[in-house]
Amino acid sequence: MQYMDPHIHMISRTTDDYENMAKAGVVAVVEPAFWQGQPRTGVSTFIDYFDMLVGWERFRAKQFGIMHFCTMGLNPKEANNRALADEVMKVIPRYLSKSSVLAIGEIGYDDMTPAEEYYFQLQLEMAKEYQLPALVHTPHRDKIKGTKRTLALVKEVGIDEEMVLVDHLNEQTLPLVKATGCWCGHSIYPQTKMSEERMVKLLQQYGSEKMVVNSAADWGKSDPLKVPKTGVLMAKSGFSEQEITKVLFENPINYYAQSGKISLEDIVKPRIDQSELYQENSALRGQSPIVES
Amino acid sequence: MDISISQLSNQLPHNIAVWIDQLLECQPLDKNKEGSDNQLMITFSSLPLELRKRGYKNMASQYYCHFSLLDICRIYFAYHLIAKSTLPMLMVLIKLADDEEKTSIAKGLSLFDITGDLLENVIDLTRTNCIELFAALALNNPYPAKNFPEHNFNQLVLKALFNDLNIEAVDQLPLRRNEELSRMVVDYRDERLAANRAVPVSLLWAVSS
Repeated sequence: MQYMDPHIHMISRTTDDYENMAKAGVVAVVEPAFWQGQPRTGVSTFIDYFDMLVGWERFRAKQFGIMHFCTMGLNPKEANNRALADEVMKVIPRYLSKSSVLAIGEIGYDDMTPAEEYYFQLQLEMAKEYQLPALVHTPHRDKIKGTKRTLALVKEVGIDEEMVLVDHLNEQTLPLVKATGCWCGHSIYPQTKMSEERMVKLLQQYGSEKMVVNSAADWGKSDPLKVPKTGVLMAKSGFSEQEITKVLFENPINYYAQSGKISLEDIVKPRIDQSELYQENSALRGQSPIVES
Repeated sequence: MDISISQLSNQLPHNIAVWIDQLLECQPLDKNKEGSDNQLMITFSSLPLELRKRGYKNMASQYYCHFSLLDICRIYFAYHLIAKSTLPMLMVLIKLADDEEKTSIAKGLSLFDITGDLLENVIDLTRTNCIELFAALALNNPYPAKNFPEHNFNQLVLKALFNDLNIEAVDQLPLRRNEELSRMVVDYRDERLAANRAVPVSLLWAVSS
């Protein structure tokens, strides 16, 4: 079985995670730009982070047999620092044409402030202009209201709903998104957000159309194997291999394929060559490099 | 719970209060003077080490009400800093302090900022992922109830519930309850129930009757 994790913050994870994900069948990941656990104080730290997403992290993933893509954007939490946010908005466009940048994201609401709405709207308009999908984070708190406002803003901006994935959904917010043309993202977490069991129930209830599952693993308590673990539970619950592949591999690829930069055929496990270096750096620490034929 | 600066200051051992007064005397208080930011932080961040050198080993444990001795020292320092200089130096302190230092400052906010001049900075602080800092802002602290607009106050209460904090300790919550907050916490309750997760008992404290 092959999987794609369409939302995972690999920059915070270890090489062991990459190895375990590859063993479990993950062949590709998408890493949305987001915040770093505490506020950044200058635009140059954003630039270095964005550069890492299209540079070192891509290399690191490939070293362990996983394709790495990303999305670019100003996250909602840091949108509240307007002076800095304006500077970040100026540098985002330079990344949008890069081959590994598949969407704008993650954008959306956190506290639902006017500043958050302003930059959310600007970035939806940017996605429309650059004909890229938009990956939208829904807030942890006051999620129903945040989801409703998200969907209203999508309509207001006039971006094609097919190009929008609304993420971190739950039992209450999924029906709201299902009533639109947007894609439905679910983040499987050890405790909060969504569990594999609840996800399987939602798939039984709502079917697999435009349904997407991710781990959203980051530097917090999270699990980068949640996509394959959901696949295992789907199989135990009677889903066919074809249905599992649709939800956990084809759907996320088809969503990001709207960028014009990838297709189903492109997503295959990359050949591992750990003798390669990135700017003279290796991810190995004295191990013998694996070089696949 | 309103505590005055004199109540807090009275808890400080006399030699410590004198020593902090001396530190402040030597402190450059002009924000525009080169190096003044660094000098301020060097002095402020050295408080725990200097306390330790003076024999106070448990300075971070509860000392008076919900304040530690270190909290009281930092609050005393910040209060007298603002009394001696202008608001920008306190803003520097809030911007450059680490989370532990910010947590102490947060506990004394209502003493430094009677007129709410730091409101935007304080609202920014509530976006922290540091639970100790957030709890210092949200619980047993008169500042949010006195100064936060309704939207920000509601978000503060909801975030406290999300972090499993007992919102009965949110100062003046019964007086700041509102219809929107009720809706938010009822939605939150429904979300928890849909996920088969326990609903915090203190949640009802936020619901208008």
